[in-house]
Amino acid sequence: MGKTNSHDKNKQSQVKNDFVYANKAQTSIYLEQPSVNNPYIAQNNFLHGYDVTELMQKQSFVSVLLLLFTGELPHKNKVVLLERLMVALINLGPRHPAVKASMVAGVSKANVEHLLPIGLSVLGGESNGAKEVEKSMLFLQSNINQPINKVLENLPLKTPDNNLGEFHICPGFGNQYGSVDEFSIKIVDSLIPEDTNIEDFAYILWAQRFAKSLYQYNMGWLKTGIAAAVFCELGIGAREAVGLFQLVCAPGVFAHGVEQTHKPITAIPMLSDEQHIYTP
Amino acid sequence: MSETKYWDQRNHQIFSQVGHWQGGVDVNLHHYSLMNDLMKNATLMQVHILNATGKHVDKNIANWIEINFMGLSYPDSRIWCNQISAYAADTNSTCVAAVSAAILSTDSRAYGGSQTTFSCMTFLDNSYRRYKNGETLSSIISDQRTKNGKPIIVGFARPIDKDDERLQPYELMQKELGIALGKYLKFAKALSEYLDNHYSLTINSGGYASAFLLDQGFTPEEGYNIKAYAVASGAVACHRNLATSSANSFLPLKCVDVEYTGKAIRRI
Repeated sequence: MGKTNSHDKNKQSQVKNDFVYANKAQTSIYLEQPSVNNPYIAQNNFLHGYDVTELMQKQSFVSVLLLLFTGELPHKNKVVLLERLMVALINLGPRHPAVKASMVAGVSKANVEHLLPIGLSVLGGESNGAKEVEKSMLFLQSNINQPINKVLENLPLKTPDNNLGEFHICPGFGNQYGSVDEFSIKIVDSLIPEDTNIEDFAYILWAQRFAKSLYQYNMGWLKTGIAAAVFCELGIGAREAVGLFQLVCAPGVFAHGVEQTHKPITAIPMLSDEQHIYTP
Repeated sequence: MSETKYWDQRNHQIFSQVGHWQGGVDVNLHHYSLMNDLMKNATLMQVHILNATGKHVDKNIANWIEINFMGLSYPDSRIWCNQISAYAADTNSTCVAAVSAAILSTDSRAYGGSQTTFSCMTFLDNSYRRYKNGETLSSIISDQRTKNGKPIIVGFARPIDKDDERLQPYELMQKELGIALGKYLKFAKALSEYLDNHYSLTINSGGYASAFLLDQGFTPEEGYNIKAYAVASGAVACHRNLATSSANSFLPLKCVDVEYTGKAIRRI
């Protein structure tokens, strides 16, 4: 087959002006001051205006994490709140789909460097994943000034008949395997810093009352809802919260995946033909 | 105790409607035998469409969609997904990582094939119904969000401002493959003409392919699934292009090449 080299024809294509691209990328987060010897080498780095080496010496990781996403160093209470959430979510456990995905990848000998991206892709979802956190934040932000019974009036408090499995009545709240998620209740009970009380955290307070009102329907807090309420308190943007949730949950996703790489490929069950029910 | 029957049934069982592998014997996809039917008679694109939608389409339809895939996967590292693949090559990440990252990056509302196909098919389907019910194109367009005074309609503009070189081969191959112009494509062309006259916007590859898929009876969800990895081939090429280069070879930036717009330097 002959080849047509359209490049050589110097064909003039029609150019419009609807899209004007920038000459440079812009960022308000990070300043890299160039070395006098090599313009590609940075001499000093500044995060939202603060010298990174000064941050290293004077601030905790969690403080700098909040600086990264909010642009300002946080109050001590906010640091404690995020740190507690990070401990709570450091490992979603070996039964969460994102962790299971990482484990299956690990045991089936995927390259180790792929385990975290694999797990975090699964963790991006709208059900028990990062996308649910984003939606839950938007739900909380649009309802925080509403009386809870008013909000409940607009929600389907009974699981729809066509929904046979897990039911999330709104993003961040619902049942887990058909029941109230008991560990989520314990997380919320351990979340608030000692020298404060829940009344100091308007979003968590509202969400706690909302969750309690759902108990009678066998629903309540989901972990995504807890993350959403905390991120609202911290002044994190809903879009930023997507990645922050993934980041917070990442250690357990990877730890479980890499643990499996040390085991034989037979270490996780492979279902038999009889256990794969096919109804085309 | 809570009712857990739904989860108990699935505790150590998978329920599938899409296919079944019987080790050492065969694989079944929606009633078709992979070994005896599909491997002998079907193209890869037909099997992909069967997996993506559950529909076994004629070979000429699959061939046209294959041409559409060619139009979504250029070996040019300026295109966003391919840039990502090239960055992966720059850090010596594997080609599979590069392609996976490139495919993920095209799950985008701006370009790429899958999400844009879903949006455009949804828009065209709704708009066509309204048009058939007597609404004018002007009225249909007036609902759309605008930017710089022009309606934002996925499939009828392009983030690169050049006429779309893919339309001509699409039309030509559709004719050669004996695929009639359907109602959605006719409508999309009429809409393109209207948009060209009023806003200097014309149909692009995504708009054409979306109308084509609607004409073949696919839903927007099926269109999304069919296009899920459409950019993969060009991403492989762009990884290969950089695979043997030294680190930091692809589009290296000087510090001043990124404009800082943030807070002034301050002390803790």
